[in-house]
Amino acid sequence: MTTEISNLLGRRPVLLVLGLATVLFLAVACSSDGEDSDGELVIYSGRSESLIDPLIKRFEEATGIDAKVNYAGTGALAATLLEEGDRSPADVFFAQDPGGLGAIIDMVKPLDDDLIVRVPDWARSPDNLWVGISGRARTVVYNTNKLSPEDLPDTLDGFTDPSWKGRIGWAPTNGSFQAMVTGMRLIWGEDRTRDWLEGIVANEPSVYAKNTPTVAATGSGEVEVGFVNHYYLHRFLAEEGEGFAARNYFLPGGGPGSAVLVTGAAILKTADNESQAERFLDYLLSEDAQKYFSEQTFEYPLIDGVAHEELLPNLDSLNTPDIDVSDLGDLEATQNLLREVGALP
Amino acid sequence: MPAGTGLSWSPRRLLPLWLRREPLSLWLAAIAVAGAAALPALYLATRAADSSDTALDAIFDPDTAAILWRSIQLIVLVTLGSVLIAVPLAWLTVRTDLPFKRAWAVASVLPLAIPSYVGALAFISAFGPKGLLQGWLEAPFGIERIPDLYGLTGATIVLILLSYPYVFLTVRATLWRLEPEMEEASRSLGRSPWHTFRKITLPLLYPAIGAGALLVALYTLSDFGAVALLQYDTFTRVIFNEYNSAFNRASAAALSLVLLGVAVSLILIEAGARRRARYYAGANAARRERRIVQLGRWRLPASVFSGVVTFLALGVPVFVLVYWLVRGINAGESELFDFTALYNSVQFSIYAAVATVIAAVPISVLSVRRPGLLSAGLERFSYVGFAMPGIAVGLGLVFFGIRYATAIYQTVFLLVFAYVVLFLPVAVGAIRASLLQVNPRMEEAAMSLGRSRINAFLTVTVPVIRPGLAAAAVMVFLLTMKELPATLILGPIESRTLATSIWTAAEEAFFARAAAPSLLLVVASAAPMTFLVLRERSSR
Amino acid sequence: MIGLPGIRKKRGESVQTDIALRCTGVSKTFDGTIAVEEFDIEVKRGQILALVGPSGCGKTTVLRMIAGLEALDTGRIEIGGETVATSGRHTGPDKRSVGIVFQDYALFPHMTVSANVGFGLDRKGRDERVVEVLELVGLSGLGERLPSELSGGQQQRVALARTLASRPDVLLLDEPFSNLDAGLRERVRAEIREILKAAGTTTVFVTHDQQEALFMGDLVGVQVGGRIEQVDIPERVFHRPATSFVARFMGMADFLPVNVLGPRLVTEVGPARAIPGFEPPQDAPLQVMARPDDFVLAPSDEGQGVVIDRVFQGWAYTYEVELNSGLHIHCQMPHLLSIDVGQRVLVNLRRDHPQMFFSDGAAVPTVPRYGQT
Repeated sequence: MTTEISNLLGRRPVLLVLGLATVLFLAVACSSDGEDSDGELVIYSGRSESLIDPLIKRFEEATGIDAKVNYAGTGALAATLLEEGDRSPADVFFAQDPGGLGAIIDMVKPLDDDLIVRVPDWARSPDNLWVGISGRARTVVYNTNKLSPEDLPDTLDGFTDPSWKGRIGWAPTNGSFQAMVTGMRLIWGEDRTRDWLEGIVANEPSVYAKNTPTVAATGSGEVEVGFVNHYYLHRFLAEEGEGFAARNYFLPGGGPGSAVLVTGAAILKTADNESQAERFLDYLLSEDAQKYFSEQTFEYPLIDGVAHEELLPNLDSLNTPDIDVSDLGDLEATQNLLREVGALP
Repeated sequence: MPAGTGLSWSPRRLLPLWLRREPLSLWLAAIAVAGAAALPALYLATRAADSSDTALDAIFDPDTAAILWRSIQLIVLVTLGSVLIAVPLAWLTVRTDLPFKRAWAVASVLPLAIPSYVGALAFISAFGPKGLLQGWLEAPFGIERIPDLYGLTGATIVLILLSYPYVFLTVRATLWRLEPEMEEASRSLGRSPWHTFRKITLPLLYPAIGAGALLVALYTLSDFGAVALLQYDTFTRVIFNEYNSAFNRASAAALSLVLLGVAVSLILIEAGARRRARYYAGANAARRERRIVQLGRWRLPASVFSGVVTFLALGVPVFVLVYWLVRGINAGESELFDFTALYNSVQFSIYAAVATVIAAVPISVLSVRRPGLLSAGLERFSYVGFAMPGIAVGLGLVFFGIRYATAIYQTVFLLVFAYVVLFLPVAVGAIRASLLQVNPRMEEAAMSLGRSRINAFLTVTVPVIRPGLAAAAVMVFLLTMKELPATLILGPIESRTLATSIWTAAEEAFFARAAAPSLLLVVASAAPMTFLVLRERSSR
Repeated sequence: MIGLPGIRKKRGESVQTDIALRCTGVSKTFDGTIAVEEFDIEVKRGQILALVGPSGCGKTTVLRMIAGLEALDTGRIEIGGETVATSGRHTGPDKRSVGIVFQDYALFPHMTVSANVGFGLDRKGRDERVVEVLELVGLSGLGERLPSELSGGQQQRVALARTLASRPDVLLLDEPFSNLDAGLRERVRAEIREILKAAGTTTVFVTHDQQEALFMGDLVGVQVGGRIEQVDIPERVFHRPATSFVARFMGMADFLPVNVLGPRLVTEVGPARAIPGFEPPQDAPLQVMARPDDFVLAPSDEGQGVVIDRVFQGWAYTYEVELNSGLHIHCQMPHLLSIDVGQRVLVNLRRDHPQMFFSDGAAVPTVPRYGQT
């Protein structure tokens, strides 16, 4: 008997492995097949797992609702939702930016008023189709070894000066950056925006894939300033310590360079678990969750009564331009403009 | 045929004679697999056709031509560079008395386990204008900035370092079985070792180089991580931008189709080259131990060369990962090692390896045993998935999965299906190579001894091609371990893998949290790869 | 009278030598296994040496050492009087004027026939030489083909042409006909012998087939266990083997015990004839060697043997006869006479030529291992 087994092992390892794997595969597949989405809230999250997972756990604890989260990029999830159409298993879409929500706007249902009113008007969709969850300010990150705040201009305009040649980092493919440019078009108009973009392009900025490497490059001194969202810096400070040689500079002159953007969430029309979905959004706009955003992810809370991280300036003092973030979802013209000036491939 | 004539009717009768010589089921299986591999392309065509104006705009945009040119430049440089590194390295580790050559062989393959986004990030951290290297040079030499590696230069270097193992592996396999007599004949005809290498060994390696180079080229074409981080705009960046910032699926699909066109051209170029190199199949297994080339005074330069390549391709990424990890631990990060993700990764990768190998067998068998237009076409078709951006494959299977396979949507089945589509050609390549060495008469002998065809295949051929099957499985395992976009889109909900953990952490600049799973990934991939390289000799 | 190669000439003299190839005391060990031991050989210009021996006797290793593909452990190899290998020095294969034709030809599959043949030639005069050599081997007009488009016999001749093209001092052939079928083989080897003779090329030819060795060689060297057992002209190796091994290996041979009765040498099948002046060894058993054609059979109920097997070979029958002593012998008789199995026969040794005698495995009287060349 034993020898038979060892013979089998000795002579047919490939067949054995194949057989075992098939059995395992079927076993796992069957077991996962049994789970139905009934009663489980399905969330598609374009916000990253490393930030959102602890919050989901708290939500589950607080409500007893079982939440399943599909994490991926906001764009990939928006495309997935569009491909899935009305067969989508998703109940909630939690997006990194209004653009992602805009892409699937036909697939979501209006939200309850009592949910919507918790955030300021500028931070939600005008037809109540999605609601802002947390705020992030556009800012300029600068290298503290090379620059001090006095060296920096009051508004983004100042960076088109030829003296900034080769010193700037940006991430033109990044959604937040493009939202900022959209804001720029709304505030400044097309021509001035184009002039600004051309001015920056003329200064030969280093092009990064997204915010993170831009901040990293600023901290290392590869570039001296970068146009980014404010909270990435805090991740670096947390991991690399106070010695990380970069700080945020909130443009005192305001304008598009200090636009505040939001992450947002919406409920799918086809949601099977509508009430759980509503409770999830309700939770995201609760004091508990908003505090989490403020304290753990260094974002701006959007409901009244929750203070932002003390390192951050007040939203009021940010001199934020008066734009509606839902308008920032219209990206096509922005992309065309960016392509025109050669900032986008 | 009218009923009641008493004649048995078989669908096989409809087939031309040449097709009937292999069992119909084999052809059907091969066609089904190739058809599955074509699903994502079909999806892209559907998507692009839905809004053909947008699609056509995207295709005929002058920028598209510019991107095409940039992509081609990168492909040519990376492919050339990979060949230039891989061929000498393979030769040194097979044919010479290079010290520690087995260790070098293992180390030379391992970069395959490093995801391109990790490799690129590590490379920037080390050699960026303000990277670790600059930091070390600053104090003693006062160097404040080292030259910029962004753009074509950096992308080329990083992609070469990450993808040369494809050529290394195929060339090594062929070097093992090239008949030494060819080279000896050349030497005895008065030709120097170098002349012999150039005129005999190298041309005999062309098919292997071509097969490896095709994988490198397709990998380069479909890579997103390295080109994005190294600031070089290629198709994948534009496609990514269309999906992620413009949310424009039609132009993304259209551009993906252009990319596919480039891929098909590359595949056809390689196929043309292979046709001229028919002799590949004729290479017999060597009967005699070949002579080991004594490097003599070249031992040191050869060791240095192997060392530099290994240092750059493997040492630097691993060093940077460890550096991040230690820095994170010092900053108080804990619970960095996520063994659920490791378990999921290994589990998915094993399924993918087994499923892909099984799926690859019919196509491999037919393309070797029944060379012809159809079998060659099926084999070439299997490359399509490998060339496509993972996100396109993922969305394609979302499209078909949710409509026609709802039961397996967001289950491991559909995910494994996606891996099969993505990595089929790698498995087909390895299995083909080992099948070419099997004398089909062996199977016929077994059948004449009363075994059924399938039994003969399983008991005679499979054991002989086991090294090929193992190589195929290990390669697919490795590629699955690091696959990201399709895993993100198609993975069962809440099934974190190492690749997704790395991504989610790196996305938010949690480098220590990205470093831990990256190291786990490299180690978990290294184990089977080491096994494979060490087995190579004994299984010849 | 015996050209023992152990006697070395000084370097200066060697230039005029007519010895094209000389191996002296060459030994080679692979991982503790002796492949070639104390191997000596001398081949004159234009001669064909056929090295024959059972498989695994080291003959291919000898060839590879001569070609420079393998380094020797001890000994010396000289080509055209030039030392190309000693235990300390090894001239690379490309630096020796030696051409080798491999068992499976090793044609370069990615080159045309012409490119193959011209591979070892300098650019100058290459094309002319290729045409010339292809004509020599009878392949004119096939220059643009690929090796895979040729028959086995043609491939064989391409391999030979490729090697001959650069006019090597020594040509080495490693079992060159083993991949050809029987009919083709006989034709091709006759052709190739003619080609080699026409080109006047010194050749060492390795085979395990005695017939081939006897046919091809001006000299036949029998090798066993890494050593040369005997080298001589084919007739002498066949008829005057130095050892009983050589006798058996070169053709069917039976050994019958001999009783020495004064001047008479008596065997179970009657008296054996020795050369004049034959002196049997003292106190050592003596055997006579007999080839199948050395026996005469006649059916007779008083015969000292019984036919136990009969093999028809067309022109003759070969009978296996069990003698009364239990010894089996093999006799060849013209097909005109047919004897049935089971028939008792009278067996006699032919008396028309002297037989070879052996004692202790060595010929009596001693036959020099290195015969007159």
